[in-house]
Amino acid sequence: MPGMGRSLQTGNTLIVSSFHTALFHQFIVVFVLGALCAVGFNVFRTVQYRRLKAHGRAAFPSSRPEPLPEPMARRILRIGFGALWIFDGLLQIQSSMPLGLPSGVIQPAASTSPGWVQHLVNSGTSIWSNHPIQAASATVWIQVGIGLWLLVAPRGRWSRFGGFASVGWGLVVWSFGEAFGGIFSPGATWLFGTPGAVLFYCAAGVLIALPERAYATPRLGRGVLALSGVFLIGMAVLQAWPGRGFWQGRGGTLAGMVRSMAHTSQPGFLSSWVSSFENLVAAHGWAVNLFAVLALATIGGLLLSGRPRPALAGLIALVPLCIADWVLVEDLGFLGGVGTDPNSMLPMALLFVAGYVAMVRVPAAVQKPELAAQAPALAADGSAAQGAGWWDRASLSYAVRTAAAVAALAIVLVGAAPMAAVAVNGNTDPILSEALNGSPNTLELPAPHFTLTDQHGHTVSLAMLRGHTVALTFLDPVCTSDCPLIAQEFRQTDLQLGTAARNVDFVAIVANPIYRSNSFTNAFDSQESMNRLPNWYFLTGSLSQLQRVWASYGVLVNTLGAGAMIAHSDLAFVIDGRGRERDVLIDDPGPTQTFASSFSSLLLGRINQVLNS
Amino acid sequence: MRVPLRCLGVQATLLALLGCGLAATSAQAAVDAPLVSAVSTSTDSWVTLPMGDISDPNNTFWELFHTAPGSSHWSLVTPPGVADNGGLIESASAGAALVGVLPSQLLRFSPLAQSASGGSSWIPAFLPGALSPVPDALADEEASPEGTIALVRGGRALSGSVGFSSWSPLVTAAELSRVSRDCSVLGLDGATLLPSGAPLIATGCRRGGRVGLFTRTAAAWRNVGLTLGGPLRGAATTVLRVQSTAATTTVLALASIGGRRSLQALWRSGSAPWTVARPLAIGSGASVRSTAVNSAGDVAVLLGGTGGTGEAVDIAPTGAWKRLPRLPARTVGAALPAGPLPSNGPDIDVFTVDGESLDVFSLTPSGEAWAKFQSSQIPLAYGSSG
Repeated sequence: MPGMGRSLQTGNTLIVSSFHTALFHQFIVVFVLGALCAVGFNVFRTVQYRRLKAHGRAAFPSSRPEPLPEPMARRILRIGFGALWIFDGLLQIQSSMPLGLPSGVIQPAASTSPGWVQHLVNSGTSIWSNHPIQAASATVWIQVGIGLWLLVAPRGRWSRFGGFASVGWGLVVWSFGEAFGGIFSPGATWLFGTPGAVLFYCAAGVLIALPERAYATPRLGRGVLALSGVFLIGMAVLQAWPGRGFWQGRGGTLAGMVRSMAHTSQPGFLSSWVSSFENLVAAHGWAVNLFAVLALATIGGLLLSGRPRPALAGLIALVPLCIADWVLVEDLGFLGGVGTDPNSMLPMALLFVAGYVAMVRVPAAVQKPELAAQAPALAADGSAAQGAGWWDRASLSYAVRTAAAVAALAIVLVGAAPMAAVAVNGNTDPILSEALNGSPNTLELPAPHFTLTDQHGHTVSLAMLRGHTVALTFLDPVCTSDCPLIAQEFRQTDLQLGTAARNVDFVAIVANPIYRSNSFTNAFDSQESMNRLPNWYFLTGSLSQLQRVWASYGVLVNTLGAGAMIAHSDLAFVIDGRGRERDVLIDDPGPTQTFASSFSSLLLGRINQVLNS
Repeated sequence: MRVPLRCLGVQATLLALLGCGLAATSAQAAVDAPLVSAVSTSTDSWVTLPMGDISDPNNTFWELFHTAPGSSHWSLVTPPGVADNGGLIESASAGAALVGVLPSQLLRFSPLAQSASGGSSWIPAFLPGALSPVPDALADEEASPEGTIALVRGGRALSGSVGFSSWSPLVTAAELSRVSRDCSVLGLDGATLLPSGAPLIATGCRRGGRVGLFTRTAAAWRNVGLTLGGPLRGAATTVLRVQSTAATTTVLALASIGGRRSLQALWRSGSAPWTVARPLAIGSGASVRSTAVNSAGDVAVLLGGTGGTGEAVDIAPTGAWKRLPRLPARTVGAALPAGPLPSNGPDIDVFTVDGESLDVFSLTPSGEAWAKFQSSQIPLAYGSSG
């Protein structure tokens, strides 16, 4: 019925089951790709063995201890952020993710940002909203793949590429998913996660992507800690800035945030902690904020010193502060709602600790330049490798790491390829319309006959349209909400058909017993630009004629009165060129443009199916 | 005067930017006439009221009620078949009514409905445009050669043939502005058909204390309005209502100058000079919430004050404004009886609305209180407009 537009719940069974099915199918693809990598590895080793044998060698090149151990700081970053990416990817498997992420995460994150940020975020949101299954499942594999990549590729180019991948995807998530971490929002604060968790992932990705020689001196660590110190002092200034509601207790910004966190679903013990903190903030908001300001400024100053002892003291103070904020203010970041990551405190602490380690733990081998100079890029059997290609010199560990990294890259591509495809696909996924209105009923029945008058005053009957596929619906020409949207659905489908539209007619029959004259159908056509479509017919007739057609197609038309619109069934029929009903679809345009576009895709698919049958 | 005082404290450059200069203090922008309105002919009374969830435009339903002389019951006669969440415009002549629906949401034109049976049955009609949201955007007189006048958005007036089979341009605000430079036309505020059949178009005037009233004689438009004097000299004006019967043409205007606002009623019989009542000053926080006129030239106005308070005033031709007793809570509209006000005092009905509940009150014989004489429940299709 027009105006009775419904909306989808995030747990819609069709969407959730399709999401899980897509994940399962992609898991099979990942499994197959993993198996192919294993096969490739074996083929490589077999060829390598035969080539070595042909050259008179009886054994594989042996791995020998690496002269350059992976810098500890880099290892912390790689393993820590690899694990975080995998955790984030697993969080994306939540059933509510396909429909819930735009409305539950992205739009709220951008809601207080400036217009240009919201515009940018909306453009990304529309990709997700139009293709929720593909986008949600793609995100799972991209994040799991990047995480695995970082974990399984500890050294060399493959490992550095993993860092670049982390930066690239992190920037996508930071800009479109986190609205730049809220840095342009008036309520930005370190306590709530500014500048966004994923920006720390990006920073870590940059450090992982650096050549290992960058870790050869304490300079990198000092730089990281200096930037961290400046960042924390800046956050302290922001926290102390008057007029932003942080010095206020009850009714203030911090109290409001903690209260909203306290009301999300979470374990009982955590709820009691958060509630206690809420009471503390409400009663002593000024003191809590003063503590936060002083702590941030002091820790920032210690990190900025560039000296190990003060920096260590700063870190020792920072870590419990981060944990306290993570638990009491950020509520662990992923509980309740549609959590996508553990928020900013863990990655930030991880990054700062890695910076400190980079300053104080310079790799031992690197401190002996003569050893470093001798280290080949690949572990190899030196004598056998003279003059041979890399495939002959590659050791078992190198081959295993490379195969694993290739497999991880393949997992990323399992997500990235469909994500790229949907980003350029103008057609909205028809599953949204099916989830809202149900799947089309496929029939094979003679379509009821009608003879009516079109908008130009010409008689049109179903028999006259024989040979063409007919998309038929029922519209109220003075409808204020759904019918104009349904007309646009038909118009969009017509345009998407391209040259095939020559064999298709789009027909609407008036569904208003009162306002049914040609004046109204023409005004409707003009209003909706339907009069520009050569294959569009808006038919009307006498009340008795219309009532017969409504009855024969099972369309209910009800005059509600008292200022209400005519209520009528939102039904569309696809009739083949032999005059047989092939599909019945509910064409309720739903609550947003996304659903209307989804119906167009659904109708387009059914029409093409009939045209090709 | 809150705005000018605030402006005085701002730098001169900001004053100019904010439009708080001398011109703005002497004459202010047009005021929208309230859509809650009533019109009474010699045979019928009609009133349009918003009902439902007034805070939600899609669940606000405008209802048309009708009563005949001697009847003590207002009947729901809203034309069916179209959502009227945007508002209803009614035009009545003896024995007939023409109602237009203001477009809402995605609709871009105004369906019309005509009744010759006191609203018990309606005939649909077509208007190629969206009606202006003013209570007298439609004028219909079967006997008139002009047929029907409709004011549509974009400052245009259309003339419809009898039976509404065709519509043609009548005049535009820009054309009327060229007729009377001293008015500086703001927009088309209302239309009526004079006993001669000639159209009378009311406009807002930006300055000069002019009440913009234009009629057409021998294919030429001329200004037949008047210039307000006294404290309203130089005021900006908006015409809230304009109605014409065989005996009287009635105009209700709102004049604004220097932050002061006054109601001004005018009457005219034939081509005689305008009769001008003493203006009624209304408070700076007050707003005009509802208007009612009848065929005898009586006018009633519902004023809304700050804090939800309100009061009603009425005036008869050649009379003076009278304040009516304290209104019942939730009063949204008022209507005058068909025919002239009784000599023994005002006979006005006021309407209170609470969701789907309608209560109608009339003045007690003493004229000192309101007495409820009708309670109705109007079933509304909430959610039917999305």
